[in-house]
Amino acid sequence: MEDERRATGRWIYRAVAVWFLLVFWAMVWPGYLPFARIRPFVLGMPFSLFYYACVLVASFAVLFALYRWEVSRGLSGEDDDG
Amino acid sequence: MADWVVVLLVTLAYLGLSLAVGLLSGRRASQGAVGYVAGDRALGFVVLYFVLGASIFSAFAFLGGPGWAYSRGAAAFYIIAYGTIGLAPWFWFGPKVARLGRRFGYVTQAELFADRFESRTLSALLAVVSLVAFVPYLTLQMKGAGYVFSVVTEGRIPIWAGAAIAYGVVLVYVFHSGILGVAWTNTLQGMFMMVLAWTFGLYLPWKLYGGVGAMFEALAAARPELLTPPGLDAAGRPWTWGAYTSAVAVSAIGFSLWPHYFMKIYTARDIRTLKRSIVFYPTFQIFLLPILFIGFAGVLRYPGVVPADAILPTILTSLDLPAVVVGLFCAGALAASMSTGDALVHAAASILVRDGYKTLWRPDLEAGREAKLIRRLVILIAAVAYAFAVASEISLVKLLLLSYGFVAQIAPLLLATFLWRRATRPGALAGFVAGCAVVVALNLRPEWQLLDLHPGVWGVAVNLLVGTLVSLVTEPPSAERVATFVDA
Repeated sequence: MEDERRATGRWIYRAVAVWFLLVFWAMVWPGYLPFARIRPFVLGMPFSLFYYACVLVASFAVLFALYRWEVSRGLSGEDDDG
Repeated sequence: MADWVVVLLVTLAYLGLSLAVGLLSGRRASQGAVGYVAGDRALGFVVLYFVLGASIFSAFAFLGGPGWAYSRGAAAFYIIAYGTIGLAPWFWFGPKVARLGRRFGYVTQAELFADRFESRTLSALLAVVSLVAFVPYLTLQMKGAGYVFSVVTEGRIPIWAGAAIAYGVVLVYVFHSGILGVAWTNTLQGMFMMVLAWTFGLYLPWKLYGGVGAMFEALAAARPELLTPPGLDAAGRPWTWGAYTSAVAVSAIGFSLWPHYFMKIYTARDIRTLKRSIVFYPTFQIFLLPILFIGFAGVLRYPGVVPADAILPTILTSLDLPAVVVGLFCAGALAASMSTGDALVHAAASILVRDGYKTLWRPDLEAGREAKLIRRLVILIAAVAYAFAVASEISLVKLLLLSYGFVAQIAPLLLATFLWRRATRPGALAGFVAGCAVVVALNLRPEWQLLDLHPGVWGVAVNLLVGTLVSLVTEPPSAERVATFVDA
């Protein structure tokens, strides 16, 4: 049971690391190319800027979800400091 | 009362408030170096959140950010890109650094690496690199503060006097209160910056074009090249994807490793507080959107503003706004400058004493005496940066580019500390020195740069290669010692 929990934990941390590598790729060449255009305008912004705002919000959501998951499992480190 | 007097009074009132907050906050810290440098490792979530937000957004946010959007268009989006990924690695290594800091008493970045690699030379090298990186950065903050005073008082307060007033206040509260002065004033300054950025960023497009959407529609019709990524370079020609991508990469690496920023990890009350502050950091960072809107608002209505960094003060002083509003802008820009400048002064003095003087010559330095020495160096460093700000003709932007290249060379040290058990002292030293040498060489000889990539990227590549090879041919470190760090 404990092994299974650890394996799930490792899988989640690896997925988050891969997510941030993908985010880097998606914000520079060549991942950004399909989105690096002016139209359509969304919320008044050029599409390229709106896309960046979405990636920022999504990255916040991913890290927030990881943090909440850690808290729910008692892994957020609340009891490991002095 | 003349408008400029009202502006000045509002600004001075803000400075007075910063000073009061800075002085009052320091009363709770202990007298030793851990109190002065790391706030007794007791910062809570709200304060740490604003410290992380405000101390990275400098004078650049209110002047340089709009200036980039105004003159280079979509190139300015790179600031959002590197900020999105820049702090995420802290979620992984921040808790390890904080735990080791508590266990071994670290308060600076170099103490961690010097201990892992058992090298006083590395500590001294990092102290030198930090200082070389900090002084131009700090000097730019001072110039920014002086510039704001000069513009809004229509030249009645020259740049040298404006910088002296703002940084006189910084000096007093950093000297008196150390990191707690920095932290609590950053909280005030961070709130102020956020409110003003959103207010100006939404108000100016509305006032000048009828809204954000109308502004971008007008820009897309008149200047499509400005809105198309990767935007323009400093000369107004299309920027290359190589330069854009490597600027994002080097800035993202440097973001979490700037020594003055890294040191804030040690100030967290506990691991949970640290992680929460990291998670919520993007809610601060999103304020870059209105900052960029401000710059774009100036493009069609105020063409030809030179330097481009003057676009926001130019718009504000031309719009016939109430003097109180202009005064609030002035205070906001000072907040941005001071919230980074104070952290730099404080960190530079702490690093010079802890990683330089104490490590090399006086390991037995008593804690109270150490804090006193750091305070003296706060004055000295502020004075040196001020002299550069008012008297130097050296290109600070060039030095700052060098700084980012140097700071990126810390990344392989971090990876080696926490991930690679085989990394050795000679490997770490050789890699770091080789990486810095590449950065210097490519800055001196830009024609050697390949693919238009930032020198820092080539520096990191050489750093990793040399560090790995030298580590593999030198004697492995003690497994027990390495485990302390890798398994932290």
